Amino acid sequence: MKRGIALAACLLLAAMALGGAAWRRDRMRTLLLANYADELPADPALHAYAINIAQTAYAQHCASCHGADLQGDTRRGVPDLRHGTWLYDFGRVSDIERTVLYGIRSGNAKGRNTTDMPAMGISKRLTQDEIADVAAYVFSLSHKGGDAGAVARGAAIYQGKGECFDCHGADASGNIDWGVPSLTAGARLYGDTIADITTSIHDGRHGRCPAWIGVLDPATIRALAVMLHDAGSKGSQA
Amino acid sequence: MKLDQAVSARAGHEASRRTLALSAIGAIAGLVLGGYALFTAGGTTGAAVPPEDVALVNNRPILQSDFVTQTQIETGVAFRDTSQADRQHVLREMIDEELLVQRGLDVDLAASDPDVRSAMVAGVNLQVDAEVLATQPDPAALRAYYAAHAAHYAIDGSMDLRDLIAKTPAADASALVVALRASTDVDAAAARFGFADSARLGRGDNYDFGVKAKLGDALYQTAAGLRDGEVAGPISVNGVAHVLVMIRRKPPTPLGFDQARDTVWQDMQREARARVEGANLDFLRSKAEIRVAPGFSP
Repeated sequence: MKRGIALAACLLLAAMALGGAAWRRDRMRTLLLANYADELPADPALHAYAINIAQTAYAQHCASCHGADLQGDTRRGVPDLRHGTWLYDFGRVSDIERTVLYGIRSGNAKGRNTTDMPAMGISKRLTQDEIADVAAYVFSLSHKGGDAGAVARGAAIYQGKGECFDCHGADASGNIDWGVPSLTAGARLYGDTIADITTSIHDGRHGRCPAWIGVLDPATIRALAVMLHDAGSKGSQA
Repeated sequence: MKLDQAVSARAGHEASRRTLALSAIGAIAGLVLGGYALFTAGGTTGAAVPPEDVALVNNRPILQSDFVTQTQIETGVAFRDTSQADRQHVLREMIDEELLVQRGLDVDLAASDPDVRSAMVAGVNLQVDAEVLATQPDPAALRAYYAAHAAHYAIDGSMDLRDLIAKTPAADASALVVALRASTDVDAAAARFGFADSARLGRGDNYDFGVKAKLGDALYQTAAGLRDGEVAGPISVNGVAHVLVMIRRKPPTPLGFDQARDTVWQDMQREARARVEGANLDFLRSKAEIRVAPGFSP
């Protein structure tokens, strides 16, 4: 009799523990989603919870392109997520969440689909010599030295015939509304050598990221946004 | 005897209490597990708005992320800096939009409104085309495509062409052709044999595409093969005899690869899109039940 009651009590305690853990998990999930995304980094408990579930999801769904350590791949134009440099909007958690939700050139109408880098060489809008000059100019924006003549010619093409200023801005600072990169920062999505820049101008660029809405649950997507924001913030402070 | 009865009654009482206790424990455990399953099972719906949403409109969610983005777009400031009134205004707009979209679905707007149908077709194709649109042009593939379709890449030619048609029942087309080939003046010969300009072509140079559109394929194909001064006919089109006189011909100018590269890339993309859109339609057809009335075929 006593053994039976003890066994039943153990079962009850186990059930309560299980229920309690589930309740806590559900509550954390609810809080993660119910709070305004940009305020999550300031909440240690929710931040830790988000990082915990995001790490597994990242390894399963993102690491194959972005790399196990978020390092990206310049050969394929996959961004280094540790950098704290964001193409779209301000790099807030809510901005990153939107990119994860709807993707980039993903076919989802809410995705980041506004612009492409045109193929200035393939389309023959610029000659090989002009492309070389523009590449020299773009390279000079973040590096010292180089052929002053080529840089000057490239600057004129940038502001004139090439119409590069139209998207990248007259001061080459980019445009976060359209996902147009700043050309004044050294690190570039597709590499930072003269050859990399030349290829980008000649062939154009059209990087993609899939839309994860409907594939991952909303809490996982938000957790990923928190994690990537976290990684970027650490990178930009370093 | 009495002792046996008392022992038996006590044992029965204890068994009853044990049964009751175990039942209670089982019920509590069941409730806990049931509650856990209820709140964590996928697809569970309830009266509450899911935490990832800001509203449910007839059970259709308005995602918090969409609401935040829309609010920021409309106000031009970060969401945390928006006022309660701004948020209320935006949420009301989004709910209204969802209501109208749902109304459109209820009345099956796509069945009756060509604009809605076009937008839906374009939207679905855009999803299917995403891969193609993000593809980068490959120089070798561009060149191979150009080589395979080189005749297609040319600047349109032009022609100064006279299209003469019979004006009287007695008109003699064969005699007119003989006269024209003998270098008789075109206007004089036409008048003599009962012919006049069809007036479908302007005098002077006309681009090939214009001639094709105005005279039709049959006459254009004949005209395109004529050299300066050559005469063709009579050609009967819809019972009308035509005689063509080429005054001056400027044939199409072939475009080199470098000149044609943009168009080549556009053509390649158009073909690739047609391929994936066709494959998508094949898939949809394979999943659909389509019945066609006798005498018709899709």
